Amino acid sequence: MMILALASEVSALRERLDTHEQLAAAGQPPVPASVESYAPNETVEAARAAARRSLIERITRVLLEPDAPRIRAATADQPNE
Amino acid sequence: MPQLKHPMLIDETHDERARDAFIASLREFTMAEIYPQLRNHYRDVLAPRHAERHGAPPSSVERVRTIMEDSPLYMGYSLLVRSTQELLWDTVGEAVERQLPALIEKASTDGARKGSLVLDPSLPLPNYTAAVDIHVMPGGFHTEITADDVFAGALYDRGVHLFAFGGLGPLNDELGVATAAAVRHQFPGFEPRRILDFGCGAGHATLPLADAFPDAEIHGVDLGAPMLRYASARASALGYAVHFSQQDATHTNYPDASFDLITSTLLLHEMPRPAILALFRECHRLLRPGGVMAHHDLLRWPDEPFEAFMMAWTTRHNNEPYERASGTLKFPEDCVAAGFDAADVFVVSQPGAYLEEVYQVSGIRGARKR
Repeated sequence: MMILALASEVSALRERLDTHEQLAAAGQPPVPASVESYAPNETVEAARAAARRSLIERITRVLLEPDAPRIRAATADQPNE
Repeated sequence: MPQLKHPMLIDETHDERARDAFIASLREFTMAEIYPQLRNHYRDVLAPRHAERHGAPPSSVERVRTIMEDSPLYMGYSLLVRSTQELLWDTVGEAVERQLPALIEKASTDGARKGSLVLDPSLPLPNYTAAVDIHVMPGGFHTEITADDVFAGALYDRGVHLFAFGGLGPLNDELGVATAAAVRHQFPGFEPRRILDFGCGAGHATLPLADAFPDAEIHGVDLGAPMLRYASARASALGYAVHFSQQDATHTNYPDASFDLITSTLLLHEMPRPAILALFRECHRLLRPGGVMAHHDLLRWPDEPFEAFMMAWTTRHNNEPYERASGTLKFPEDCVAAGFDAADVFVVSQPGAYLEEVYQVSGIRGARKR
């Protein structure tokens, strides 16, 4: 829960930074009002979805790579009963 | 798929939208990526290892549980799903609290109300609803945190959209659309004049009934006042005239034989078996001859120990203690006990709209009254 809440905040901060960059690239000042009213186009939204997925993959990698040493150590020779 | 911004849906800041998007991505990744890997890990590694040591794969849910709770992948999955659920309500709840007075003001504008809203502050809440916060949603569907409260409705409307990572559609109504379509498919030419939707909540499955049967008078019943206030305001804002009433679906104040169609969507799996049977009896009492009850929910409970163990995850960890009751209903027997004829019972399979990988056993079933 604590890690996910922090990850959520990191993701939101990254998207806010991206909004600033998108506004700057369009020649608009990244003031609060323009940040709030910014609506990402499909290309930007797709890139953000990919970034969110990458972040989640990094967070969950320890679970999903069963050959990783930590998992192998934790699951080896479990009596399972 | 973005949610349709109807007038009752909460407004969100840039950062709130970003946090929402993270939660929806996390839900989708967990259910679409990790869940199937977990099933494969059990099939390819854990069950064969058990068979090697004990001569056979695990034969009971309890044995599967012992194995799974030793599996870092399962325990990680379990932590992720539960934590995401808590984070979801925390995140959306903060945005709802920030604008609650404005939402209440919008919902209280009786002049703009189409249909009607009847609340009963003296309605006793059944223990099966009062004792748990269903879905880990703080306060459940009934708690009122202030006068004329709509918190639960506003929280659920946005929250369930993220929970389903948009898979319920822009109006969170795809299950309700399927319920209406199943009735249309099963009973060609059936034109109900009065329709009642039990456990209507925010009205997600209620409004599709009005679309499917535009000449019918539509009623919605729920236990939770904050849901009903929100549902009424949401329906009105979307242009629907629906009559919402706060009642217990197992014993309502409507006269005998006063409805042609009674529906529920995802209601049964939150009720214990005696309440479901009482609900069926109430449906039979309320239906006119030729009328139909149609309930959209689990159709069965898996026999295979691993699938049964995973199905029960929500019971163990998502505050849905009665889920198994709906999956193990006896059809047609439980309908016959409520007064229906065994020959008039029907079942329509409906593969899960957005969780096909997980819930392969949902659909619409019910009976027509002679």
